[in-house]
Amino acid sequence: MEKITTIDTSKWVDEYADMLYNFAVVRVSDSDLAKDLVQDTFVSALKGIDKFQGKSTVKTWLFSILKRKIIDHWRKQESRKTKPMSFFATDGMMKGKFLETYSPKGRLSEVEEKMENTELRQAITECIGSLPPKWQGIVVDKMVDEKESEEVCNNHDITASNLWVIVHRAKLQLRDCLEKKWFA
Amino acid sequence: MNCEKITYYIEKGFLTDLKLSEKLQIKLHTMMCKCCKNYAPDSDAVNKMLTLIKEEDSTASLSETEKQSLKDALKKFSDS
Repeated sequence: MEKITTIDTSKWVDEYADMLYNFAVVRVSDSDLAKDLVQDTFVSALKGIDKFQGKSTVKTWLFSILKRKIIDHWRKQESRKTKPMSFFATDGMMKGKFLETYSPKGRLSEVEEKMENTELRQAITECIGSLPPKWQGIVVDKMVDEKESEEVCNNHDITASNLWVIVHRAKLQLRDCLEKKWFA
Repeated sequence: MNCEKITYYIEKGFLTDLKLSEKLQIKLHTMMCKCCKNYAPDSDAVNKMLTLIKEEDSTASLSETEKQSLKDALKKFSDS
C-alpha cells in the first residue's frame, strides 16, 4: 500500500507540479511561497487521499486544494480594511502628472491582435509581476479568474471601494506596461 | 474634474453600476479629452488580455532539481 502511494506522488509531481506552480506563482507573486504552496497541496492531498474517491479528476482535486491554500494565504496577509487610505495614497503617485505619465493612445487592442499568443501571455505575466505584491492576487482573482466582486473582497478582506481603487490603479499601470512592451 | 477621477469612474463602471452623475462626468470629459476617450477601449483590451493567463496557461516551470526535492519530501512524508 505504502509503495503505491510513493509511486503515485512522484507521478503527481511529474504531471501536475508545473501546472500548480504556474497557477500559484501568478497569484501569490513570490516563487518560493508558490513552491511551498505546491508542496503543501501535495501533502494535503496525501493526507486526504481517503476522502478522494475519484469523484473528480486528480487535477481538479489538486487545484481545489491549492485554491483554498492561496485564499488562506491572502487572508493571512495584513488586513487592509481598517486603513484603506494609507494603503492607496502612495505619496500622490499621479498628482498633476497624470497626462504626462499616462497618455492612452487607444491602440492597445492592436497588441492583442498582433502579438504572438505565448509572447503576449509572457508580457501579461511580467506586467502583473511589476505591480505591488498586494495588488497582484487581487487583480488575478478579479480580472483573470473573473470572480464576483463580493467573493474577491471576501477573499482578500477588503471593501468594495478598496477593490475599485486597487483595480483602477492596477489597470493604469498594466495598460501602460503592456503598451510599452509593444510600442516601445 | 481630472483624468485620474474620470479613469477611476471608467474602471468602476466595469465593476458596478455608476451613478448618473458619474456617467455624465465621463461623457462630458471624454468629449474634451482625447486621452480619456482612448482610455476606455484600451482598458477593455487589458481586460480581455488578462483572461488569457488562466489556469495552467502561463509560462513558468519548476526545475528538475526542484521537482526531485518535491518528490523526496513527499516520499519522506508518505513513508513516515
